[in-house]
Amino acid sequence: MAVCPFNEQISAFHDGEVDHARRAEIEQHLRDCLSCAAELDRLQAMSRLLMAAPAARLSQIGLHRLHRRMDQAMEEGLLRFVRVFNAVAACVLVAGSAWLLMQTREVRTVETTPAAPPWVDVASDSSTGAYSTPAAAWYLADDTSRTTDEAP
Amino acid sequence: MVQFSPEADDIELLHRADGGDSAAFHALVDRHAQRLYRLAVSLIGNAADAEDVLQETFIGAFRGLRSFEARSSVKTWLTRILVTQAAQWRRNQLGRGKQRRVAEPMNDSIAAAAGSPDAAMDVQAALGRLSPEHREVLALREFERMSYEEIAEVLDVPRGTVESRLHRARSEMREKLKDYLP
Repeated sequence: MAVCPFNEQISAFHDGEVDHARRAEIEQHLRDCLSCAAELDRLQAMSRLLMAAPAARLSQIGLHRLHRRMDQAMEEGLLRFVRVFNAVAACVLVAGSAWLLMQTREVRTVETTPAAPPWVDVASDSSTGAYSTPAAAWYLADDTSRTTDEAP
Repeated sequence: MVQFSPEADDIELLHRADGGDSAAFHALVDRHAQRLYRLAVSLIGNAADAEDVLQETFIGAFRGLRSFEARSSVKTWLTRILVTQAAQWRRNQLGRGKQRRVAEPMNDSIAAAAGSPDAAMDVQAALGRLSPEHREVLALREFERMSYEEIAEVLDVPRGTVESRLHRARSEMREKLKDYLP
């Protein structure tokens, strides 16, 4: 037996999911087609049967358990935030401490380097240790053997 | 607990919950718990696991408050999370080698609502024997009264897929429940 071409649309018609023009067309068809009219009757009967059957309800105790579980989840969320915040704070603290330590070491290195007065052009020959300018050689020489008369 | 007026809509509650107002989130739970629990029982088939899935749904919603985009309703968003959690539960069950029957004995009030205890049990058993895809689409349409567009959004499938799945699911159910149908 051939299935009516409207058959698959009866489900959407039953659910009110067809547009106005299509609805009028199907309504017209239902007046003439016994098979589709019977299909619509079965769909309506099935909907009534399904609507009547599974009326499960969450008990008051179940609802209370649900709320309590939500409170736990919220606390866990807050704790997770606090943990992440603490971890970030600890990282910042460690990185900051390391940076400060490095800064202190750099200052100490600068402080321990022998400083020459800015007017002395200190340029040493690293291979011989001799100073390249007479002024530098005079200034850095032993001051007990230095007199102002010898200044270049 | 702070009481919210019925006029305070879901979006407002969601934004307040996102701002750290836990009472607003509890109000959202109160609004949707019964509806989602009913759907969870339809998808899972037993009360204890349905309650676990419901809890995971709201925990997922709480953690994903910021990810909510007002393109869909809060109802659709929560339903989508529930369907995802139910699918996860099924995967876990399969992973543990358990394949429970989705039907469970009903209480008297449900049986009475369905007209007779036999009808109620047969409907629940028939629903339980459907494939998860067919059960989802049928439950969303028949119990939640969702439109095809909403179902498509919840299941993340095209509208045409919803129509074809629903048609097949109903055909299957009709076959299983032929004793109760004209």
